[in-house]
Amino acid sequence: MFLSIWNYLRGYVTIEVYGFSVERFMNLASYKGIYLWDIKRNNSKVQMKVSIKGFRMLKTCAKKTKCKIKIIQKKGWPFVAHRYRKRKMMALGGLIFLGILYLLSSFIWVIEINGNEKISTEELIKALEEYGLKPGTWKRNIDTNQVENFLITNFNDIAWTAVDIKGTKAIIDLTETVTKPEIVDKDTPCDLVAEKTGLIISMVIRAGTPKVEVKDLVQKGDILVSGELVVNSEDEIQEKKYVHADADILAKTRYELTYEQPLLYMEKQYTGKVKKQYGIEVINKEFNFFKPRISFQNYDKIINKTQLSLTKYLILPIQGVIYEYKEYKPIIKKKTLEEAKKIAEQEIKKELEEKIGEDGEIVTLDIKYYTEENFLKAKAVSTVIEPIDKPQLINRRKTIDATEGKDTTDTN
Amino acid sequence: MGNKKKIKKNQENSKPTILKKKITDMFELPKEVVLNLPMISMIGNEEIHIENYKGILEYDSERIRIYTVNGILKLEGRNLFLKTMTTEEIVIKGTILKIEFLS
Repeated sequence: MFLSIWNYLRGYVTIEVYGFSVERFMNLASYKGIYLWDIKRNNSKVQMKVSIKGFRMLKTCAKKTKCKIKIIQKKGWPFVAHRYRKRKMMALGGLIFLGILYLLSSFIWVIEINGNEKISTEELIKALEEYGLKPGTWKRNIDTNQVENFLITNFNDIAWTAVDIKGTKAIIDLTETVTKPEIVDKDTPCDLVAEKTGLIISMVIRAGTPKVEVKDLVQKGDILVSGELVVNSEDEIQEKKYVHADADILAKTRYELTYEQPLLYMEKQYTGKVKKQYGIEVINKEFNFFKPRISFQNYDKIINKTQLSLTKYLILPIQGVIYEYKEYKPIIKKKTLEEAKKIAEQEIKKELEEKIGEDGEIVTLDIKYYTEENFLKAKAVSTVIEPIDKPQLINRRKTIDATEGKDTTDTN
Repeated sequence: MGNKKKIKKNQENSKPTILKKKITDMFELPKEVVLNLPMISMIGNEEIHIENYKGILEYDSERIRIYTVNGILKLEGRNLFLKTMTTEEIVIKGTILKIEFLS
């Protein structure tokens, strides 16, 4: 394989030798160091291959051994080059081609962003465009370190980023910061307050003074467990200590949800008639040819874009675009009440579960349905058992006042 | 033919050759280098490499005779052809049926 490529580049001649003693001719040739290969006998004639350089030396061998040489085929790059040596325009075209290839590959044509979840890709691309990194930017004008700095300083949510330019592609890898949940420090004193209005079902208190009891109805914002501890010392002087209240409080809460959905819906029935249109997009400019006449009343337009690239990283600024027009007939259908009710129930359950989170549990769920002009309306009332406690810092001033008055310090 | 016999005598029976043989046997030197003996290696019955050959005497698709220091090496087979031929080595391809030394 490699040998045949090498031989092609060097160029070789297939010759036919005939005469008194071809063996002697071959011996003499190999003695002189001429490399012969693929020697095949055809009755009295012998076919063989020899390099261009070797062929010139063969002439003396043929004379000495009284053999005759006939050239059958010339093959290889030197012969091709010789044939086209006078075609200057072709050489020029080749050079221009290489030049254009080099020129086009020194721009950035595609920006790839990996790792963003919260920040949208469009937002990042817009910011980069304002900074000066967009499809069509000259590669040498981009300092990847500066781009990294720009991203980190302009987006608070980016913790780390790496900008890499590979071929005509700018690859931006980034990691977003994880937002810290609001944690009240275990040592700072705090109260537990009700997050929602509800009926308390059970209380497990680990620290703090309970302010409510089971079966109490609490409003949103009521203090459930206070972080204030009143300690009766032996001298009968009341002492106040402040702790981080800690408790599991479950309460019954009520939710009211509504859901509305149309009973009529449209279904697309494709007729199978499709028209295609082809175009090219060069740097965000479209060039369309063969624009078909579309006589469809209703149709879907499907756009398919494919980026042309030489290799994985050498991407050209040309996109092939295929437009497909698919005709369809709109058919209006009506859902049965059973179907609609099923969907409504599923949607309501989904919404409810999203609201109460993982810790909550649905106790009862009553849904009432009524129809109104092709609409199905659903009203749901649900009772749920869920934890409602939420830590709240004890007002600093209040605690200081309290401690100053009694001359005891434990505010930490 | 007379010429050939002379070479044979010179190669196999002359005093320096015998001495050389003894020395190479003693020191276990590679014989193909010191004594210029042909080194023949085969791959199945499809390919045969012959190093240190002296020349080709006959070349045909069924029979090839090669001259070596040990005498004439006769190969018989079907569709034989010379893959490559250089000063040091000769490579023959085809179906080889018979190898024979004629001395």
